[in-house]
Amino acid sequence: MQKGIRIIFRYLLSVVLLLIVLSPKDAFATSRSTPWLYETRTMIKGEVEYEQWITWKTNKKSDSRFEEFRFRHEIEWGVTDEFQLAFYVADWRHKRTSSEEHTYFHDIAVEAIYQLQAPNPDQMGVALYGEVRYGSEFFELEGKLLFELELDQVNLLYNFVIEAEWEGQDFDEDKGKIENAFAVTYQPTPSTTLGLQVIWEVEFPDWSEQGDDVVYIGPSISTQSDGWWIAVSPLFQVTNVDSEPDLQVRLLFGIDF
Amino acid sequence: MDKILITICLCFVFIGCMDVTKVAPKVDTLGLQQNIALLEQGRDIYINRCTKCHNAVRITRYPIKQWQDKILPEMILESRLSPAQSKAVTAYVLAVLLSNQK
Repeated sequence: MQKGIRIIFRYLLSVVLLLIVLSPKDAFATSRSTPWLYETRTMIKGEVEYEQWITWKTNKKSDSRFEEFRFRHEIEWGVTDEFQLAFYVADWRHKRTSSEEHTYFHDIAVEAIYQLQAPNPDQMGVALYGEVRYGSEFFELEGKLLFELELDQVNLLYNFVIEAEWEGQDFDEDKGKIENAFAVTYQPTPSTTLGLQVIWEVEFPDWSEQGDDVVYIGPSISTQSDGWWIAVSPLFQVTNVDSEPDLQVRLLFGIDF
Repeated sequence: MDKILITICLCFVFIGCMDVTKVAPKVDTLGLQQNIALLEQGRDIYINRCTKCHNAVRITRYPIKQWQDKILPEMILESRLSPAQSKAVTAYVLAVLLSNQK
Protein backbone atom coordinates (compact mmCIF):
# COMPACT_ATOMS: atom_id res chain seq x y z
CA MET A 1 0.00 0.00 0.00
CA GLN A 2 2.72 2.47 1.08
CA LYS A 3 4.86 1.59 -1.90
CA GLY A 4 1.89 1.91 -4.25
CA ILE A 5 1.00 5.34 -2.92
CA ARG A 6 4.62 6.52 -3.27
CA ILE A 7 4.58 5.38 -6.89
CA ILE A 8 1.34 7.28 -7.54
CA PHE A 9 2.57 10.53 -5.97
CA ARG A 10 5.94 10.47 -7.73
CA TYR A 11 4.25 9.72 -11.02
CA LEU A 12 1.53 12.35 -10.62
CA LEU A 13 4.02 15.02 -9.61
CA SER A 14 6.16 14.41 -12.70
CA VAL A 15 3.18 14.42 -15.08
CA VAL A 16 1.63 17.55 -13.56
CA LEU A 17 4.92 19.48 -13.59
CA LEU A 18 5.57 18.52 -17.19
CA LEU A 19 2.09 19.54 -18.28
CA ILE A 20 2.21 22.85 -16.42
CA VAL A 21 5.42 23.69 -18.25
CA LEU A 22 4.05 22.66 -21.64
CA SER A 23 0.49 23.95 -21.37
CA PRO A 24 -0.48 27.30 -22.93
CA LYS A 25 -2.20 29.56 -20.41
CA ASP A 26 -5.17 30.69 -22.51
CA ALA A 27 -6.46 27.27 -23.60
CA PHE A 28 -10.04 26.25 -22.78
CA ALA A 29 -10.54 22.73 -21.50
CA THR A 30 -13.32 20.43 -22.66
CA SER A 31 -14.12 18.79 -19.37
CA ARG A 32 -15.64 15.49 -18.29
CA SER A 33 -18.22 15.79 -15.54
CA THR A 34 -17.95 12.19 -14.40
CA PRO A 35 -14.94 9.87 -14.73
CA TRP A 36 -17.02 6.71 -15.33
CA LEU A 37 -19.38 7.81 -18.09
CA TYR A 38 -18.98 9.61 -21.37
CA GLU A 39 -20.98 12.65 -22.38
CA THR A 40 -22.12 13.29 -25.94
CA ARG A 41 -20.20 16.54 -26.40
CA THR A 42 -17.16 16.21 -28.63
CA MET A 43 -14.18 18.49 -28.96
CA ILE A 44 -14.11 21.53 -31.22
CA LYS A 45 -12.28 21.02 -34.52
CA GLY A 46 -8.53 21.36 -34.08
CA GLU A 47 -8.61 21.24 -30.28
CA VAL A 48 -6.04 18.96 -28.62
CA GLU A 49 -6.17 17.79 -25.02
CA TYR A 50 -4.07 15.59 -22.78
CA GLU A 51 -6.05 13.43 -20.38
CA GLN A 52 -4.59 11.50 -17.46
CA TRP A 53 -6.49 8.58 -15.97
CA ILE A 54 -5.73 7.01 -12.59
CA THR A 55 -7.91 4.21 -11.27
CA TRP A 56 -7.44 2.53 -7.90
CA LYS A 57 -9.17 -0.78 -7.18
CA THR A 58 -9.10 -2.37 -3.75
CA ASN A 59 -11.01 -4.44 -1.14
CA LYS A 60 -11.63 -7.71 -2.92
CA LYS A 61 -13.24 -10.31 -0.66
CA SER A 62 -11.59 -13.20 -2.48
CA ASP A 63 -8.09 -11.72 -1.91
CA SER A 64 -7.49 -9.50 1.10
CA ARG A 65 -4.14 -8.29 -0.30
CA PHE A 66 -5.57 -7.25 -3.65
CA GLU A 67 -4.82 -3.73 -4.81
CA GLU A 68 -4.42 -2.33 -8.31
CA PHE A 69 -3.51 1.04 -9.82
CA ARG A 70 -4.28 1.64 -13.49
CA PHE A 71 -2.81 4.50 -15.50
CA ARG A 72 -3.87 5.72 -18.91
CA HIS A 73 -2.25 8.55 -20.89
CA GLU A 74 -4.64 9.88 -23.49
CA ILE A 75 -4.28 12.47 -26.23
CA GLU A 76 -7.59 13.68 -27.70
CA TRP A 77 -7.98 15.53 -30.97
CA GLY A 78 -11.04 17.20 -32.45
CA VAL A 79 -10.99 16.10 -36.10
CA THR A 80 -14.23 17.94 -36.87
CA ASP A 81 -16.79 19.57 -34.58
CA GLU A 82 -18.64 16.24 -34.42
CA PHE A 83 -15.83 13.69 -34.59
CA GLN A 84 -12.92 13.18 -32.21
CA LEU A 85 -10.09 10.70 -32.02
CA ALA A 86 -8.08 9.69 -28.99
CA PHE A 87 -4.82 7.81 -28.65
CA TYR A 88 -3.93 6.02 -25.43
CA VAL A 89 -0.17 6.13 -25.57
CA ALA A 90 0.46 3.58 -22.85
CA ASP A 91 -1.83 1.90 -20.36
CA TRP A 92 0.09 0.40 -17.49
CA ARG A 93 -0.74 -1.08 -14.13
CA HIS A 94 0.66 -1.77 -10.69
CA LYS A 95 -1.00 -4.81 -9.20
CA ARG A 96 -0.66 -6.59 -5.84
CA THR A 97 -2.31 -9.90 -5.02
CA SER A 98 -1.71 -12.50 -2.33
CA SER A 99 0.77 -14.26 -4.62
CA GLU A 100 2.64 -11.43 -6.40
CA GLU A 101 3.21 -7.73 -6.86
CA HIS A 102 4.34 -6.20 -10.13
CA THR A 103 4.17 -3.20 -12.45
CA TYR A 104 3.55 -3.90 -16.11
CA PHE A 105 2.55 -2.45 -19.47
CA HIS A 106 -0.95 -3.53 -20.46
CA ASP A 107 -2.00 -2.06 -23.79
CA ILE A 108 -2.23 0.82 -26.23
CA ALA A 109 -5.57 1.97 -27.63
CA VAL A 110 -7.36 4.09 -30.19
CA GLU A 111 -10.80 5.59 -29.56
CA ALA A 112 -13.27 7.43 -31.79
CA ILE A 113 -16.42 9.33 -30.84
CA TYR A 114 -18.94 10.55 -33.38
CA GLN A 115 -21.68 12.90 -32.26
CA LEU A 116 -24.97 12.19 -34.03
CA GLN A 117 -26.93 14.89 -32.22
CA ALA A 118 -25.66 17.60 -29.89
CA PRO A 119 -27.26 18.00 -26.46
CA ASN A 120 -29.17 21.23 -25.96
CA PRO A 121 -32.45 22.34 -24.36
CA ASP A 122 -34.36 21.33 -27.50
CA GLN A 123 -32.97 17.83 -28.06
CA MET A 124 -31.23 14.83 -26.52
CA GLY A 125 -27.52 14.36 -27.24
CA VAL A 126 -26.59 11.09 -28.95
CA ALA A 127 -23.12 9.82 -29.85
CA LEU A 128 -21.36 6.63 -30.93
CA TYR A 129 -18.12 5.46 -29.33
CA GLY A 130 -15.65 2.84 -30.52
CA GLU A 131 -12.35 1.70 -29.02
CA VAL A 132 -9.70 -0.84 -29.98
CA ARG A 133 -7.13 -1.96 -27.41
CA TYR A 134 -4.10 -4.09 -28.12
CA GLY A 135 -1.43 -5.41 -25.78
CA SER A 136 0.69 -8.39 -24.98
CA GLU A 137 -1.66 -11.38 -25.30
CA PHE A 138 -4.62 -9.01 -25.13
CA PHE A 139 -7.06 -7.59 -27.68
CA GLU A 140 -10.32 -5.79 -26.98
CA LEU A 141 -13.10 -4.14 -28.95
CA GLU A 142 -15.47 -1.81 -27.18
CA GLY A 143 -18.58 -0.07 -28.44
CA LYS A 144 -20.79 2.43 -26.65
CA LEU A 145 -24.03 4.23 -27.28
CA LEU A 146 -24.03 7.54 -25.45
CA PHE A 147 -27.14 9.50 -24.53
CA GLU A 148 -27.40 12.82 -22.71
CA LEU A 149 -30.39 14.87 -21.67
CA GLU A 150 -29.67 18.45 -20.69
CA LEU A 151 -32.11 19.99 -18.20
CA ASP A 152 -30.77 23.40 -17.22
CA GLN A 153 -28.26 22.69 -14.43
CA VAL A 154 -29.01 18.95 -14.42
CA ASN A 155 -27.82 16.42 -16.98
CA LEU A 156 -28.91 12.81 -17.32
CA LEU A 157 -26.40 10.45 -18.89
CA TYR A 158 -26.80 6.89 -20.09
CA ASN A 159 -24.07 4.75 -21.65
CA PHE A 160 -24.76 1.33 -23.09
CA VAL A 161 -21.46 -0.53 -23.39
CA ILE A 162 -20.55 -3.80 -25.06
CA GLU A 163 -17.04 -5.25 -24.88
CA ALA A 164 -15.39 -8.25 -26.51
CA GLU A 165 -12.03 -9.32 -25.14
CA TRP A 166 -9.49 -11.94 -26.21
CA GLU A 167 -6.54 -12.99 -24.04
CA GLY A 168 -3.81 -15.62 -23.99
CA GLN A 169 -0.94 -16.59 -26.29
CA ASP A 170 -3.31 -17.55 -29.08
CA PHE A 171 -6.01 -15.07 -28.07
CA ASP A 172 -8.21 -18.07 -27.36
CA GLU A 173 -9.60 -16.98 -23.98
CA ASP A 174 -12.52 -14.80 -24.88
CA LYS A 175 -15.16 -13.07 -22.85
CA GLY A 176 -17.76 -10.38 -23.26
CA LYS A 177 -19.17 -7.70 -21.05
CA ILE A 178 -22.33 -5.64 -21.18
CA GLU A 179 -22.59 -2.53 -19.08
CA ASN A 180 -25.41 -0.12 -18.40
CA ALA A 181 -24.27 3.10 -16.80
CA PHE A 182 -26.50 5.93 -15.58
CA ALA A 183 -25.55 9.27 -14.08
CA VAL A 184 -27.31 12.35 -12.83
CA THR A 185 -25.14 15.45 -12.67
CA TYR A 186 -25.87 18.86 -11.21
CA GLN A 187 -23.96 22.08 -11.88
CA PRO A 188 -24.27 24.44 -8.88
CA THR A 189 -21.90 26.79 -10.75
CA PRO A 190 -20.79 26.65 -14.40
CA SER A 191 -17.35 25.37 -13.37
CA THR A 192 -18.39 22.73 -10.82
CA THR A 193 -20.37 19.53 -11.36
CA LEU A 194 -21.65 17.10 -8.75
CA GLY A 195 -22.89 13.69 -9.80
CA LEU A 196 -24.29 10.34 -8.80
CA GLN A 197 -23.68 7.29 -10.95
CA VAL A 198 -24.88 3.71 -11.08
CA ILE A 199 -23.01 1.11 -13.12
CA TRP A 200 -24.37 -2.35 -13.77
CA GLU A 201 -21.94 -4.82 -15.36
CA VAL A 202 -22.60 -8.35 -16.58
CA GLU A 203 -19.77 -10.59 -17.80
CA PHE A 204 -20.10 -13.43 -20.28
CA PRO A 205 -17.11 -15.83 -20.01
CA ASP A 206 -16.58 -17.48 -23.43
CA TRP A 207 -19.79 -15.73 -24.49
CA SER A 208 -21.50 -18.96 -23.47
CA GLU A 209 -23.09 -18.20 -20.13
CA GLN A 210 -23.89 -15.19 -18.01
CA GLY A 211 -21.47 -14.48 -15.17
CA ASP A 212 -22.10 -12.45 -12.05
CA ASP A 213 -23.99 -9.18 -12.09
CA VAL A 214 -22.01 -6.43 -10.40
CA VAL A 215 -23.51 -3.08 -9.45
CA TYR A 216 -21.49 -0.07 -8.39
CA ILE A 217 -22.81 3.23 -7.09
CA GLY A 218 -20.90 6.38 -6.23
CA PRO A 219 -20.78 10.17 -6.21
CA SER A 220 -18.53 12.35 -8.34
CA ILE A 221 -17.22 15.88 -8.36
CA SER A 222 -15.49 17.80 -11.12
CA THR A 223 -14.22 21.29 -11.58
CA GLN A 224 -12.76 23.21 -14.50
CA SER A 225 -10.95 26.41 -15.23
CA ASP A 226 -9.26 27.97 -18.26
CA GLY A 227 -7.18 25.24 -19.85
CA TRP A 228 -7.67 22.44 -17.33
CA TRP A 229 -10.23 20.32 -15.49
CA ILE A 230 -10.26 17.54 -12.92
CA ALA A 231 -12.86 14.91 -11.98
CA VAL A 232 -12.84 12.32 -9.22
CA SER A 233 -15.26 9.62 -8.21
CA PRO A 234 -15.33 6.62 -5.88
CA LEU A 235 -17.56 3.67 -6.74
CA PHE A 236 -18.80 1.21 -4.12
CA GLN A 237 -19.94 -2.28 -4.92
CA VAL A 238 -23.52 -2.80 -3.70
CA THR A 239 -23.69 -6.45 -4.79
CA ASN A 240 -21.78 -9.31 -3.18
CA VAL A 241 -19.43 -10.54 -5.87
CA ASP A 242 -16.29 -11.68 -4.05
CA SER A 243 -14.05 -11.65 -7.12
CA GLU A 244 -14.68 -7.96 -7.85
CA PRO A 245 -13.26 -5.05 -5.83
CA ASP A 246 -15.62 -3.40 -3.37
CA LEU A 247 -14.09 0.02 -3.94
CA GLN A 248 -12.84 1.73 -7.08
CA VAL A 249 -11.68 5.33 -7.25
CA ARG A 250 -10.99 7.10 -10.52
CA LEU A 251 -9.31 10.46 -10.97
CA LEU A 252 -9.15 12.15 -14.37
CA PHE A 253 -7.57 15.41 -15.28
CA GLY A 254 -7.27 17.13 -18.62
CA ILE A 255 -5.16 19.94 -20.00
CA ASP A 256 -5.85 21.68 -23.31
CA PHE A 257 -3.12 22.57 -25.76
CA MET B 1 -30.06 -0.75 -1.24
CA ASP B 2 -33.48 0.69 -0.36
CA LYS B 3 -31.90 4.03 0.56
CA ILE B 4 -30.13 4.11 -2.79
CA LEU B 5 -33.36 3.44 -4.67
CA ILE B 6 -35.15 6.17 -2.71
CA THR B 7 -32.32 8.60 -3.52
CA ILE B 8 -32.52 7.76 -7.22
CA CYS B 9 -36.33 8.19 -7.20
CA LEU B 10 -35.98 11.57 -5.47
CA CYS B 11 -33.49 12.64 -8.15
CA PHE B 12 -36.02 11.81 -10.87
CA VAL B 13 -38.82 13.63 -9.01
CA PHE B 14 -36.56 16.68 -8.70
CA ILE B 15 -35.74 16.51 -12.42
CA GLY B 16 -39.40 16.06 -13.33
CA CYS B 17 -40.22 19.33 -11.54
CA MET B 18 -37.80 21.34 -13.69
CA ASP B 19 -39.12 23.59 -16.43
CA VAL B 20 -36.68 23.35 -19.33
CA THR B 21 -38.57 25.90 -21.44
CA LYS B 22 -37.21 28.63 -19.16
CA VAL B 23 -33.59 27.88 -20.05
CA ALA B 24 -33.81 29.51 -23.49
CA PRO B 25 -37.43 30.56 -24.11
CA LYS B 26 -38.70 30.41 -27.66
CA VAL B 27 -38.97 33.81 -29.35
CA ASP B 28 -42.75 33.58 -29.84
CA THR B 29 -43.18 33.33 -26.06
CA LEU B 30 -41.44 36.66 -25.42
CA GLY B 31 -44.39 38.77 -26.60
CA LEU B 32 -42.32 40.80 -29.06
CA GLN B 33 -43.37 41.96 -32.53
CA GLN B 34 -40.09 43.34 -33.96
CA ASN B 35 -36.73 41.85 -35.00
CA ILE B 36 -38.15 38.33 -34.84
CA ALA B 37 -35.67 36.94 -37.41
CA LEU B 38 -32.72 38.42 -35.53
CA LEU B 39 -33.98 37.00 -32.22
CA GLU B 40 -34.59 33.59 -33.79
CA GLN B 41 -31.01 33.62 -35.08
CA GLY B 42 -29.79 34.65 -31.62
CA ARG B 43 -31.64 31.78 -29.96
CA ASP B 44 -30.28 29.35 -32.53
CA ILE B 45 -26.72 30.47 -31.75
CA TYR B 46 -27.43 30.36 -28.02
CA ILE B 47 -28.64 26.77 -27.98
CA ASN B 48 -26.31 25.39 -30.65
CA ARG B 49 -23.00 27.27 -30.39
CA CYS B 50 -22.85 27.86 -26.63
CA THR B 51 -23.75 24.24 -25.90
CA LYS B 52 -20.75 23.04 -27.89
CA CYS B 53 -18.72 23.44 -24.70
CA HIS B 54 -21.23 23.58 -21.83
CA ASN B 55 -24.89 23.43 -20.87
CA ALA B 56 -27.13 26.24 -22.00
CA VAL B 57 -27.39 28.38 -18.89
CA ARG B 58 -30.85 29.58 -17.86
CA ILE B 59 -30.64 33.19 -19.05
CA THR B 60 -32.57 34.64 -16.12
CA ARG B 61 -30.10 33.07 -13.71
CA TYR B 62 -27.77 36.07 -14.08
CA PRO B 63 -28.61 39.82 -13.93
CA ILE B 64 -28.53 41.92 -17.07
CA LYS B 65 -25.40 43.81 -15.96
CA GLN B 66 -23.43 40.56 -15.58
CA TRP B 67 -24.52 39.42 -19.05
CA GLN B 68 -23.55 42.74 -20.63
CA ASP B 69 -20.29 43.36 -18.79
CA LYS B 70 -18.87 39.89 -18.41
CA ILE B 71 -20.64 36.81 -19.77
CA LEU B 72 -21.51 37.94 -23.30
CA PRO B 73 -18.15 39.63 -24.09
CA GLU B 74 -16.17 36.65 -22.77
CA MET B 75 -18.28 34.00 -24.47
CA ILE B 76 -18.46 35.86 -27.79
CA LEU B 77 -14.67 35.98 -27.78
CA GLU B 78 -14.38 32.32 -26.73
CA SER B 79 -16.83 31.14 -29.42
CA ARG B 80 -15.25 33.36 -32.10
CA LEU B 81 -18.65 34.70 -33.17
CA SER B 82 -18.87 37.11 -36.10
CA PRO B 83 -20.15 40.66 -35.42
CA ALA B 84 -23.53 39.69 -36.92
CA GLN B 85 -23.78 36.57 -34.75
CA SER B 86 -22.71 38.56 -31.67
CA LYS B 87 -25.43 41.11 -32.36
CA ALA B 88 -28.06 38.39 -32.73
CA VAL B 89 -27.17 36.47 -29.56
CA THR B 90 -26.89 39.70 -27.54
CA ALA B 91 -30.30 40.83 -28.80
CA TYR B 92 -31.86 37.48 -27.86
CA VAL B 93 -30.36 37.37 -24.36
CA LEU B 94 -31.40 40.95 -23.61
CA ALA B 95 -34.89 40.30 -24.98
CA VAL B 96 -35.32 37.33 -22.64
CA LEU B 97 -34.11 39.34 -19.64
CA LEU B 98 -36.28 42.35 -20.42
CA SER B 99 -39.29 40.15 -21.07
CA ASN B 100 -38.73 38.50 -17.69
CA GLN B 101 -38.76 41.90 -15.95
CA LYS B 102 -42.24 42.74 -17.27
